[in-house]
Amino acid sequence: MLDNIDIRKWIIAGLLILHIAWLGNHMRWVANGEIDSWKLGGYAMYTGPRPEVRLRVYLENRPDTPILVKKGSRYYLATYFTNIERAFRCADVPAAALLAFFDENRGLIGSNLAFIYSDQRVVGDPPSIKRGMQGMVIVTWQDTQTFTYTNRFCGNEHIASATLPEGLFATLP
Amino acid sequence: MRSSVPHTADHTSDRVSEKAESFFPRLWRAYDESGVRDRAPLAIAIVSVLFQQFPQWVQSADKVALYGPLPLELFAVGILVSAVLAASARTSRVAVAIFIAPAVFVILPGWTAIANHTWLALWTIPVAVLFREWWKSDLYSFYLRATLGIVMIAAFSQKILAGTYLNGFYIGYLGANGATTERMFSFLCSGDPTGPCVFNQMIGIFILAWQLIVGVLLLLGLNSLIFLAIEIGFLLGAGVFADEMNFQVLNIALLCIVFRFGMPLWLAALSIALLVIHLFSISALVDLVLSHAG
Repeated sequence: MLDNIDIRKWIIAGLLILHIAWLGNHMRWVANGEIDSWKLGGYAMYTGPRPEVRLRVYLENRPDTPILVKKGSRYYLATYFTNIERAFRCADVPAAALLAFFDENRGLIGSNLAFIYSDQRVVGDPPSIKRGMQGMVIVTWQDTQTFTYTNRFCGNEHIASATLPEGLFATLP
Repeated sequence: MRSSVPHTADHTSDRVSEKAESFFPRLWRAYDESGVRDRAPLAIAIVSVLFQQFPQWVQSADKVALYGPLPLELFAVGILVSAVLAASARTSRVAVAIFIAPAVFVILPGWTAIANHTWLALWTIPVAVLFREWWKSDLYSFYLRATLGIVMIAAFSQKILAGTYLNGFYIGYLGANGATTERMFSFLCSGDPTGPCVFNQMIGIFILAWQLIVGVLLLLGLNSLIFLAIEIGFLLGAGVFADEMNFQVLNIALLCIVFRFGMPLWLAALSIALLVIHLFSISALVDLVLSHAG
């Protein structure tokens, strides 16, 4: 039945147009430095180094000792469907990820933190490859339940607040 | 007694070689005549997705935490079953439908992290479900041709946009920092490997020209088997250089559908072998050989 309907030609045409549009948009993102060029289906692999995004979390009063955030932790899983491995370089870290982080690291509740992201990029003319800061999130506690977090990525700054859920707060030591 | 033993042995080996001689042509003929040759490219394309995805699934702490190891293994089995069924005329369409399940439930949710290989597979393989006999469909073959042409031109455009090929910078970077195979041309340039070098520039420009020409010729509808053979040769060469056979096998399989050439048994066997080699990485194998030779 389906074989006799010409709708397949329309579907094929639609897919081709969609693919071209996606590629055009991908190039725009790459040109603006908004994404990891290896990802998101733009076929821009092998145009630069793999970014190898690195996350370091620092305590305000202990800037020399980074805290390890394990892959597979809920901090990473919070962005699994939207921005795993930070393919979108300029996207903010959402409150859900930070809340998940504090849920898994309850001893750090109340500590001011900096989440620092770095990646590798081609920079300068003549070009060279350097690891540089991609951006950061600064977490400052207002009281025992609420913190302010400042996302600084790609020259933008967004400030917001989040409150620990009642359940989590109730289980604190 | 002495003479009979070698005689018997000769007899046995003759029979074995006769059997072997008759077995392979028969297998070859059956493969061609049953039409499996026409459907093998899609089966190989699906297998290439399995080889690309499954090692990443089990190594990804995020994926294992989200799905658990057993469901991931079951989805991998699903892809394998779909590849096997894709080779049969009766089940080929069902096979594509089966492939769509792991694509939707495991691959697509990680859309921001999946490799370009998988993106291309997702743009191409599931579309076959629209056709009862996709291997006979001009429309499906046209779709794959147009998609591959667009992809080649996109890859060319991205390299121009990055500005790292016309000056040979990226080839120099690979020569200095890449895996063993990626350093194969580094001997051509002395001094600072990332500095200006005419050979790196030539290789960079050659890659650009190749991608643009192939993309344009595909879109123009060139249907020469010589073109197919040259393109397969280039893809294999690029695969060895970049130590990335997976993506090349997918491209070769799709091209075999585009040209309505099917996949000869030797090419199917070579593709599977390359996928297995890719698991270990060509560079690791070369390093192993070199370490023994050294």
